Amino acid sequence: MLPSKELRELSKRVDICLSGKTAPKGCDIRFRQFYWLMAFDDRGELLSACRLADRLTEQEKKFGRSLPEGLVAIVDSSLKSAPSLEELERRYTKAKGSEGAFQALREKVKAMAGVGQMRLADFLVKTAAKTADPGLARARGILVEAAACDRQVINHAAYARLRKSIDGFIKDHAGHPSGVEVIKPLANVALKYSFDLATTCKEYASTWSSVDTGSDEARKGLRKLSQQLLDHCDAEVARADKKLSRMKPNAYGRLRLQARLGRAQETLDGIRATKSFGVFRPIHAEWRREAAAKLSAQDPQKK
Amino acid sequence: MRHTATALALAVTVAVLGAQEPPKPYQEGDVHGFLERTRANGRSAVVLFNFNHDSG
Repeated sequence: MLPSKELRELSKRVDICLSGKTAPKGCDIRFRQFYWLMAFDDRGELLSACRLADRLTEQEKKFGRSLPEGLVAIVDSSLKSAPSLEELERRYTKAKGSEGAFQALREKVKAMAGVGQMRLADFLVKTAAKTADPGLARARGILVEAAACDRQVINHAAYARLRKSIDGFIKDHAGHPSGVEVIKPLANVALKYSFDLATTCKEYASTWSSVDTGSDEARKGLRKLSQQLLDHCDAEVARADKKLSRMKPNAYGRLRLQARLGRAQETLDGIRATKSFGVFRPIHAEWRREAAAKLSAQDPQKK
Repeated sequence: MRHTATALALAVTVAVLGAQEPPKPYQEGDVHGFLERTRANGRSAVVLFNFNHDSG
């Protein structure tokens, strides 16, 4: 594809970069094992992003184009994908965070297969103060962040950051109507790889219930949110328990469910029998630490 | 003698030109610098992620 005459012709109109494993700034790519194409307009603003192999196959099957011809067609169509993400961000700020402007941003990121999703989450939180409803804007940012987290290769730091975002929102915007939506991804996304979900959720609920809000209404709202979190948690624990009971002894995911259910000894035994690699190293280290602490608390003589 | 010298010079020129590869129609690596340059030059750009000369 690269030494083709089509590419030489294309390069007269468009600059081309083979970026290796480095993504352009603001283009957070979750599935980094795939080939991606990102198109920028003459102001350097992001117009489009797509998984290249899928699009090239489509070009070949639908239009009978060769690989170089397909690439040129994809680039030409990508360059027509205005408005850019940056332009939509400007429109959002100008519209003070209107629902329409927010939906346009979400659609854009969706059309780009999630590329730019974390950047959008950051943008929504950073610009929240300039919008008509800063609480709503921040909640949107957290929900976009949760969606990005849920779609990515397991990332310990990203889950921790999401937990912090959700907890921070609840404390800063006690009583905001968006709280109900914001806490939804706590149990099933942000705490997906955490040890002992039930205990962790109880700790969050207890902290939120005791936040000094200065208003009875906000205090009542926080108590309600705390109860909702515990309800989500009960449902997640029941689901994990049921799934685990149907699993074969060496099934993939068994150890995660044991950790999620807070079964300390089984978790430690499972970690001993498993080789921790890559993305799981920090997660297993956390499970090991917390499971050992739980066992020690249950039987202090073992300390 | 003069003809021989001219022929030799011509042969050397052809050999040098033949040995020079045509410039690549793309840049490899340094994507941030690449995008800064294309922006400064007012040029549209495409970035191929996970690509290098061999994989392409």
